[in-house]
Amino acid sequence: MKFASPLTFLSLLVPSVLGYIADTVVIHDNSDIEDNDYNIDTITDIITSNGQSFISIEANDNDLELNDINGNLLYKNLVILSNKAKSLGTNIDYKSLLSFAENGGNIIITSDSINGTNLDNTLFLNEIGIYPSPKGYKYIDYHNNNTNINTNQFLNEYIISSSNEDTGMEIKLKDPSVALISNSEFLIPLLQTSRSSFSKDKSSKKDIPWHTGLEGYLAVAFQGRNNGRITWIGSKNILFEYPEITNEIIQWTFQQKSVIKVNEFIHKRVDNEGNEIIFVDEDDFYKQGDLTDVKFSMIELKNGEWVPFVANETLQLEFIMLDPFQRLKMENLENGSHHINCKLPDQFGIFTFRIDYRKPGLTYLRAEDIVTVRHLAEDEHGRSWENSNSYVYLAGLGSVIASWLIFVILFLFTSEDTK
Amino acid sequence: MAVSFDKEGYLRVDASVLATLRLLVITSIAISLSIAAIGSRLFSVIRFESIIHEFDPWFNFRATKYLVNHTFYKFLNWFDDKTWYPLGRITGGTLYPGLMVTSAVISNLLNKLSLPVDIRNITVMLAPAFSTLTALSTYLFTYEVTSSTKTFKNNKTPALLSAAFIAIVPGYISRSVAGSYDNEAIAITLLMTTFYFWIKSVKLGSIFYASITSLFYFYMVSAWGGYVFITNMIPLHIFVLILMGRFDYKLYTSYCTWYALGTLMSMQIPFVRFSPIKSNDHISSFGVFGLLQLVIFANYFKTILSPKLFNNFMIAFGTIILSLGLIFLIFATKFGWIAPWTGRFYSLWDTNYAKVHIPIIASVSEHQPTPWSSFYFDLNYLIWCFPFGVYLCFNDLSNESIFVIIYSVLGSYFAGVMIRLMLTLAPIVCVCGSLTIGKLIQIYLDIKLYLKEKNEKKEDYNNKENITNLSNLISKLLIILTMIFYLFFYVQHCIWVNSNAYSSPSVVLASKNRDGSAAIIDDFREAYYWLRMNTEEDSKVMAWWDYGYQIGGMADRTTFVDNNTWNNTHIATVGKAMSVNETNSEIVMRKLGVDYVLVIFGGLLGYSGDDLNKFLWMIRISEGIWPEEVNERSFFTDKGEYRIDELATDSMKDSLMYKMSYYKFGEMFQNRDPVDRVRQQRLSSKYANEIHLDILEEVFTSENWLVRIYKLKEEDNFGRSLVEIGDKERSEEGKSKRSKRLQTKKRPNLDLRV
Repeated sequence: MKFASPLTFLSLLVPSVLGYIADTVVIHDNSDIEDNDYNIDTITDIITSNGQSFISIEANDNDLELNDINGNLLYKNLVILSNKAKSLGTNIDYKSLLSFAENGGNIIITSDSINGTNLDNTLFLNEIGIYPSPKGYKYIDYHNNNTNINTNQFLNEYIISSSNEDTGMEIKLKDPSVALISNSEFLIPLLQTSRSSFSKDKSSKKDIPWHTGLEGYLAVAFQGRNNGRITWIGSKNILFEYPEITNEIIQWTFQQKSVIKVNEFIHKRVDNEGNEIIFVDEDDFYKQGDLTDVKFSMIELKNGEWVPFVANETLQLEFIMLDPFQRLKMENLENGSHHINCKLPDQFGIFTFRIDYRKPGLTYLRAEDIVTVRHLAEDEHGRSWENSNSYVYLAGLGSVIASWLIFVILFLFTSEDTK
Repeated sequence: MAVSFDKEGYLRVDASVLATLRLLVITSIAISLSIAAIGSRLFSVIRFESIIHEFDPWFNFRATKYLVNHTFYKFLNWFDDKTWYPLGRITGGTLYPGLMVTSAVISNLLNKLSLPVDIRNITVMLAPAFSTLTALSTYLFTYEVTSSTKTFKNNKTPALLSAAFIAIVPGYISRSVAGSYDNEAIAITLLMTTFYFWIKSVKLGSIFYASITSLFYFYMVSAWGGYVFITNMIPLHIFVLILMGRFDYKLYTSYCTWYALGTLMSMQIPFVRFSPIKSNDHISSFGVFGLLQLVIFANYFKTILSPKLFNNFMIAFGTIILSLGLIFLIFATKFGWIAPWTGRFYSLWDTNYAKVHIPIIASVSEHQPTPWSSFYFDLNYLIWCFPFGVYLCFNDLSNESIFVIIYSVLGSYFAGVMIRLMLTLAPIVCVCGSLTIGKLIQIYLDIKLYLKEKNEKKEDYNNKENITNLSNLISKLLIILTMIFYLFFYVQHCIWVNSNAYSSPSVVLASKNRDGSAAIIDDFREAYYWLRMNTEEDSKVMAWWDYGYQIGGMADRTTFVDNNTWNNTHIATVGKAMSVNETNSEIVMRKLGVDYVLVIFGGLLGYSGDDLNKFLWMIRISEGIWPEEVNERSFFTDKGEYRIDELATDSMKDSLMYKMSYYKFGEMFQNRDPVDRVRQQRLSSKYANEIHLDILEEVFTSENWLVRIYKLKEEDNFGRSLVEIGDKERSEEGKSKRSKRLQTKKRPNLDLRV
C-alpha cells in the first residue's frame, strides 16, 4: 500500500467524524505508475485539487475493504483505473462494488480495448446495464479519422460543460472499448460511437461485431435511485491526457457539481384573499375544494457553496391519489422559485403533493408531501334556500302550512254555523 | 290489620299486602333473570379476559374511543385517514352512531358519579347489560299481547316466561356475549321496545305512545341497519289490519304519528339521510302512509254516498290510483330518482343471487343461508313450541296477536335466508314459545283452579269422579313433568351452547396441549402488537379485509380495506395483489403505497379460517373487475381440485398469497416433508424449499405461524426488477468464475435504446 500524500496518511490515523478512512480510494494497475504516459499522479492531483483526500492502492493482492462490518462506507468515492489485473483485491468482487454503490458511493471505472475490462468491473457494469466489449475487440471507423473526437460530441452538458460549445476541443482516444447499454432510465450516455464505426475481435474466428454504427457508447454515466454516481470511460487515456475533461468527470461523479436539492417546498391553506389559514390541530385537514398555495425552490452546489438553482423548464405540480387528480404548471418567479395557487379537487382522500424534477446529469429530485383532504362537514354544505332548485319545495312547504292554517281557521269559525 | 284470622280461623290477608307480595315476587324474578342473562354471557371474560371480540366490535371500540376523546360534532364529521388508504373513509357519515353514543353517555355518567370506569370495560359489558333490558321489554311486549286476549287476561305467566326465555336463548346470546360490542347488542333491545310501544299505541290509538314508538324507532335507526325490519313490519301490520277490515282512527292516529315523526327523525342520522324516500326498503312504509290517507278519504265518501255509487266510485278510484302508482314507479326507476332493484333486494328472494352476482356479500359467512340444524341449536325446543304459539294467536285474533303472527312469518322467512337474521327471529320465538308453555301451565298447573276444585269436591264426594280425577291427575302430572324436563333441558342446552359455541373472542383461540391441559393461542395479538411496536407509525399494512378492523384497533396502523366493505374495487385491487404473480403484484402494491403485507396462515396449526381458504373469494372478487388478469378456473387443477402441493396449478404457485403462506414452510420441518394440516396435503421437502419470494421480505411470523408479516422491499437502486435479481441469484448459485467470465464475453441481446 502506498500513501500518496501526508494528508491521507493523517486521515487514516484519525478517522473523520463520518467514519471515512479517506474520501477517495484509487485502485490502479502496476503499469499505471511505471508507464510514463499513464502517470497516476495526473489524476490524484486533480482529486486533491478538488479538496479530496485519497489513498491509492494496487489491484490484485490487497486487503482493501470498501464497506465496514455494518455495511457503512469506508470511502465516499472509488476510482478504478485497473483493467488489467485479474482481481481488484482479495475482498472486492462485483457484489461489494454493488453494495458500495447502493450505500451511496461513487465510482469511476475505466477500460480500454487492449486489456478489456476487469471481470468484477464487467459483472458490476452488466448489472447496471452497461456491457463493455471484451478484451480484443477493436473500435474501427474506416470513413472517419479513426478515434479523434471533439468535446462537443459529449452528450450531457451537466457532466461535460464544453459539450454545448460550438468549437470544442479535439481529443484523441486510444484503443477505446465500446459498450452496449440497456434501456435503463438511470443511464446517461456520454459519448456515442460514430455512424460508420463498428468493433470487432480480429483474433476471433466468429465474425460478429460487438457494435455497429450508433449502437455503441464510448463513455456512459449512471445515477442510481440514491443519486450515487457511476461513470464508465471506455478509453482510459482520456483521464490521463485531458485534465479539463478529467476534472469535470471527477467533479460530477464525486457529486461536487450538478448537485441540486430542494430548498423550499411549502404548501399552505389559504382563503380567497391569499391569507394563510393555519392548521390548528392534528384533526384539522384540508377539505375538498380548499385553496392552496404551493412554493418550491431548489439550490445547487457550485464551488462548494449552495446557490439558488434556476430551472429553465416550467415545473409541474401533481396532486395524486392513486392517479394524478391535478397536473398543474407552476409559475416561475425570479431567483428560481416556483409558485402556484390552486384549488384542491372535489374529492376527499389521502393525497400527495408531488414535484418531480429529473434531468439526466442532475440529481433526481422528488419533493412529496402527503396530506389528508377531508369531506365537507355537516354544516359546511350550502343551506337549502341558497340553491334555487329548492324554491319549488320551499313554495310547497309554505303553501301546505298556509293552507293548513286557513283550514283550521275555517274549521273553527264555520263549523258552529252549520249546526 | 293487614293480616288477620277471621272467625272461622281462615287466614285473611289484606289486598295491599298481596299486591306488595306480588310486586316483590315479580321483582325478585326480574332480578334473577337479570343475573341469569348477565351471568351466562360472562364465559368469555372468565375464560379469557375482558377483551373485545371478533372483527366489527374492534371498529366500534375504536370509534367509541374517538367519540370519548373528541366532541360529538367532530365524531359526526370524522374523516378517517387510517383506513381505506388512500381513499379514506367518511366514518362519521357511514356508521350507525347509536352504539358509540350509548357507551359514551354511560361513560360520562359514570364519570359524573365519580366512578371512572375504563371505556373498554364499558364496551365489553354493554351487551350483557342491555340483554337484561331486552328481557324486560320482551316481558312488557308479551304482557301487552296476552293481556288483551281472553285466555291470558291478567295472567303474567307467559310474559315472565318469555323474559326468561329471551334472557338465555342462544340465538340472541350469540350476538350479545361480553365483548361482543356490536350494533346488534343494543338493537334487539330497541327492537322489542319499539314493538312494545307500537302495539300499545295501536291498542290505545294514542299519539303519546306513537311518539314514544317513533323515539325508540329513532334510537333503533341510529343503532343498526336492521331498523328496516321495523320500517316494514309496522306498515305490514297496518296493511293487514286494513285488509281485514279493521281500519279505525286508532290505527290512523298511531301510524301517521309514527311515520311522520319516525321518518323525520331517522333522516337526521347522516348514514340514513334520504334513503327513507329513495330506497326500496322504505317504500312500503311510504305506500301504507299514502294508503291510509286514501282509506280515510274513502271512509268519508262512504258516509255521504249511496252504497251503489260508493261501489262504483271505489272501483274507478282504485284503478286510477293503481295505474298512477305503477306509472310513477316505472318512470322514477327509469330516470333514476329511486333505485329499488338492488342486489340486496334480489338476494332476499333468491338466496343464490349473491353467490352468483355479488361475491363480496356472499363471502361473509354470516350471510349464508341457515342450515336447519342451527334453528334447533339456537332456539332449542322453543322451535317446536313456536308454531303452537302462533296458532294460539290465530285463536284470539286481536290487533296485537296479528302483529305477532306477522312478525313470526317475516322473521322465519328472513332467518331462513341469512344466518345472521336468526337474531331477529329469536325474540318472537321466545314470545310464541312462552304462549305455548303459558297455555300448558294454565291448563295443567293452575293452582287456583285446583284449590277451587278441591273446595268443591269436599262438598259432594263421588266415587266415579274419583277415578277420572286420578287419571286426570296422572295425565297432568305426566305433562307437567315433561314440560319441566324440557324447561330444565332448555336451560342446560343454552348454557352449554353459550359456553362452547358463542364465547370465543376469536382474537384469542383456546386449544389443548398434548397432555390435555388448556392452552391459549394468542398469535393474533402477538402479531398486532409486533406491528404496533416495530413499524413506523404511518406504515400501511395490506391484509384481506377481514382483518382491517383488527389491525386498525389493535395495531393502530393504516389499512387498505376493512370490514366496512364500501368500495368493491378497492377490495378487488387488494385481492388482485394477492392472487397475481410477484411482478404484477409489485406494480399494484407500489401504486397503493403498501409497506407491509399481513397474511393468516393456518397450515401449521390446523386453523381452517386462514387466508388460503378465503383465497377463492379474493380471486372471485378481483376477477369481477379484472377478468383478463385473474381467472378462478386457473387456480384449480384439471381435475377440478384445489391443490396446494406440487400438483397445484402454475397460477396458484405463482400467486403472492401462496408464496407468502408457504415461504420457508419447509424449514419448519427440517428435512421431512411438510404437511399442510388444513388442506391435508403433503409438500415434498425439496419442493417446499424451492418456494421463494423476491419482492417481499419476511419480517415476522408468529409463534404458531398463524400470522405472517412481510415487508415490501425497496425498489432496486440500479433500476433492476426485484424478481430479476432473485432469479439471477438463484441461477448463479454455485456458478464458477470461469462461467461468469464466459458470460461477460457473450454479446447481450438488448432492445434498441430509446
